[in-house]
Amino acid sequence: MDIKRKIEEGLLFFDGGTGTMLQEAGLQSGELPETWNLTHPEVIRRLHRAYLESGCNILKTNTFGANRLKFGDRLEEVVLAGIRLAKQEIKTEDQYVALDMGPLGKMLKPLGDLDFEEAVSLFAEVVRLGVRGGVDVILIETMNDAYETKAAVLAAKENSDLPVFVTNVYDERGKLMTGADPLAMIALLEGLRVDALGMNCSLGPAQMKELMPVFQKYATLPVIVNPNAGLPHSENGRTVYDVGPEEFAREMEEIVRLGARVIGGCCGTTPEYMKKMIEGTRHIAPIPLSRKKETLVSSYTHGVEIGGAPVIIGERLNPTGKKRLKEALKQEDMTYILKEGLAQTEQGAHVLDVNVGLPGIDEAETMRRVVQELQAVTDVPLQLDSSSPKVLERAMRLYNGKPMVNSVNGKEESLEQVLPLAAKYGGVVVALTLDEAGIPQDAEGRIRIAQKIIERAASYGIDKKDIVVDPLAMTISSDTASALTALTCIRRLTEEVKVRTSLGVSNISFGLPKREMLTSAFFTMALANGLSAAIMNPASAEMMKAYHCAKALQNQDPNCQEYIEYAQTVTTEVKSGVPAKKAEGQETTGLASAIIRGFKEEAARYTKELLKTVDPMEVVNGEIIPALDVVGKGFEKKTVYLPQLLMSAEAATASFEVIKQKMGNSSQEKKGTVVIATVKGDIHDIGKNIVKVLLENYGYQVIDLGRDVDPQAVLEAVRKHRAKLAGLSALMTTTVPAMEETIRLLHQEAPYCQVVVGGAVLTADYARKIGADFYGKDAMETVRVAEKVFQKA
Amino acid sequence: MNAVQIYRPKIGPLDERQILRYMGCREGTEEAVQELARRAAAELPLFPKACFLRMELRTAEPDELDFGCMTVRSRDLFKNLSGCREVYFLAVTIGTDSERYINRWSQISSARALALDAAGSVAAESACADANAYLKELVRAEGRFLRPRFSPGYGDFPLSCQGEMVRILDAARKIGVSLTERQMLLPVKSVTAVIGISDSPTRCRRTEAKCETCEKTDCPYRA
Repeated sequence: MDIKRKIEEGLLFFDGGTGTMLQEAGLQSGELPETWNLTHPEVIRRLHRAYLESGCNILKTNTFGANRLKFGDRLEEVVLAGIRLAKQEIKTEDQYVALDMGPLGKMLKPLGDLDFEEAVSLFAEVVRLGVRGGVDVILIETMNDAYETKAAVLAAKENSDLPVFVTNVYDERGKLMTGADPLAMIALLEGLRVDALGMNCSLGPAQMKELMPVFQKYATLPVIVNPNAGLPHSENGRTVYDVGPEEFAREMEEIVRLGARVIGGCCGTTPEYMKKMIEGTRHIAPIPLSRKKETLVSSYTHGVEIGGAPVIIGERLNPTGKKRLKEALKQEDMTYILKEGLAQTEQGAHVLDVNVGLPGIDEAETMRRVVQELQAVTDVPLQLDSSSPKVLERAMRLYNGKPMVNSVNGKEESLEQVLPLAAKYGGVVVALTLDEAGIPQDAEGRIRIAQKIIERAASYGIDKKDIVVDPLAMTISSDTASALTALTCIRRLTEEVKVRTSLGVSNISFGLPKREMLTSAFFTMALANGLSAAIMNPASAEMMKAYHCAKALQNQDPNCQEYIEYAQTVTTEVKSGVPAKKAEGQETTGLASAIIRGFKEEAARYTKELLKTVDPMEVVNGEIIPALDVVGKGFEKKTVYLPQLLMSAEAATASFEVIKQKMGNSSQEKKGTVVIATVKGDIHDIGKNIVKVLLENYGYQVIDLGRDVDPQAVLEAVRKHRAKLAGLSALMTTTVPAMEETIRLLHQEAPYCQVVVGGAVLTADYARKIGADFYGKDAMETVRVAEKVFQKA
Repeated sequence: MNAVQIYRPKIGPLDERQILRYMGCREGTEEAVQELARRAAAELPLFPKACFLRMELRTAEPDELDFGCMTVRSRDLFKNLSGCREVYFLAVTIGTDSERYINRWSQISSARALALDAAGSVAAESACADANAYLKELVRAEGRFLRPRFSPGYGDFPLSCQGEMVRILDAARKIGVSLTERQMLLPVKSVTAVIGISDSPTRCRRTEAKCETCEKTDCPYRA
């Protein structure tokens, strides 16, 4: 019988541990257990047989660590042998063979250096072998990273029609090694449409039991629980697990009563454990599977529920009407973009909208970079926002988690292109109530479109809970009834259609004075009508007041705790025009002094004041530059240490940012363009970032390519910007060859560009040996090099 | 047959003076900089883990060490392990949360990133020292002693051995430590080391041979 049907009928039993038993049979430390498929096939078969005899009905093939990275050309042989050995033992119809795929043993970008698509293709290879070998199900197990789990699932889905089971390793914090909690994994895996999910390894049954309630509450899919035989400890130099077969069986019985449907064992468990476990549980009628209705989006660490307390979606990463962001996107100034994202999360955003649509840029590529870099620094879920399905697909595929997707609408073309993406990659899709005929004037028409989208989504297997309807708030300055229409829609969608809602609330006040006042009032009204999420600016004090008040008033803030805490941060009303005086204490006497002492906020404030009366160029040349010089020279004379230099540099950056906000980019004459990068294979970039901050302070345009950068990419950036100077950083001896290669390529193909290198392992001699034009001992010296290079020009 | 074991190192409050040293400050610094170090010490999320494996050592040829599933040529390691017939392989990390935290601040403030990075290094050393102390207790029960721990990259102990050690320790699975293609440990704040088990106490009073065997004599952090 098909395993998916079997699982609906009742309990299924995985086998137990392999590693410990093979070690007892003589497997050496450092020896790859999968090689035993070829060298000791009889041992593997005996193990399988023992598990079947103890009553297990799913065998894991001995292929846990089998991938090309470890086995190279022997992969096929090892995997196919592993499958064959398991299949040979299968005797009855209700016994199954699961292709066992464990982690690759490499960390994915951005934490590591393995590319996501590379990971997908490494898993894909094993999946195709599984299909060839004729397994019944693919088991992706012991995954300790959400992103790698996603890569493995995509590989399984794209290369087979087999059922896919996934179990992750949670530690004693209840999180994966890289931070995901069970809710995040449930959201991700159900979005990707696996067939069963759960946990294995690391914890014993008692600890896994603690995690069961969240699975039971949020998971629609059958839950798998394969614990270790308790926690390991050392006895006479041997690893011993602290839970025996009886205790294991007792705990597993409770776990079944808490909702598990597929159970088995991991490290330390043996056929004896499984036998006891199966005897103790086979009579239990498992809790029936049920559809869960919570709308979940997730990042690589946590899930966010839409439909409980209101969800704030930060709107500021959208270039429409934002000059500074447009400029940053055009210049690939990731720092600005990331800071803007992080600022919104600090201000209270639960989700960030990301839209990079701008004429003249490669939207798909920019989206990819922004999403990946944002996910390297912030763990809030993202709302991927584009009118192009191509851009959405690129972003949805690479996104680490279950994203919000903005948006689909009632147009045939949109339905056909966007819904299949959500079906494949998972996601909560924002549905705009417009179609070929435009936006209906009345609520009735908009609700009809919403219903049509929900029905079409269902035909792709997308549950209503994964649709969030945005009934579109249009400004009341052109139609004074539009707020009422939107509010009616929100109420009816919530009460009658029973679907979650979202609104871009800021539109409502477009064209009117004192917009925040109006927008926040509208926001409160929308929340009172049932709005689940708002795309808004969390920097607006008015909006955040409305948010906290509504939460307290709607009984979503236990004991009004959050409200009380928030109220303490709200300062008394500020009289118009006069900024609130900040507490003194950090006495500085002007901009130069603030920069020298490294006080960011002071520097920004003095700059604002100065700009009222002084020409920007004079602020730069009369205050900022001399102050930077004092600190820079002090650093060179070793009277100022690196952290002080950096604090001053950041104060200067804050000052420049004020000038930029006011004057646009023209405010600062650029002395020249420098391309900087950490070389291929090197993922340390603090040093490179330090150099960037200083170069920018000294008036250079810096094109920062990030870390682990291919030589060819450095060359392309140098060509594109006609950069006369490139700065390369490498931290380890093992990455210096990549540096050498990059220098060679630049000298060959872009001889007008000189190269300065730096990094912990380099010396002046070493730099010369690998062909660099300059050695930057530290960040200041790199600035001096730039001065030399661009003076000559 | 020995199996890889897991240990959770305990890290006390991080030494601020040490953090300041790694930040490039030699002596008394401004209060604002000290505050940076203090904050970094308090804020950096730490989740230290270690795994270790006891292995036999055979030394038939001079400068050649045979650990059974791995052989190493290194004069310095040979010297360090002379007379030992057993060793521990050890891997220690402070976890991926700290790595993300440092990366995040690296985008916002280099000064804070510098301080956090320094705090991470101090934490990794502290976790390593604690794991070392734990192993010392284990062998003390047998009346034996530990040699100063020795990591790939020290002296002429090839950095490339790190990959083999990570594999033998199954460190990716056990504690989430892996290697990049270019032999960098991930998370960055991780350490691998070999620790000799000997019958007599070591003459060296230092528990950690680090700077003295290093060739980089111009290193600003050299003790």
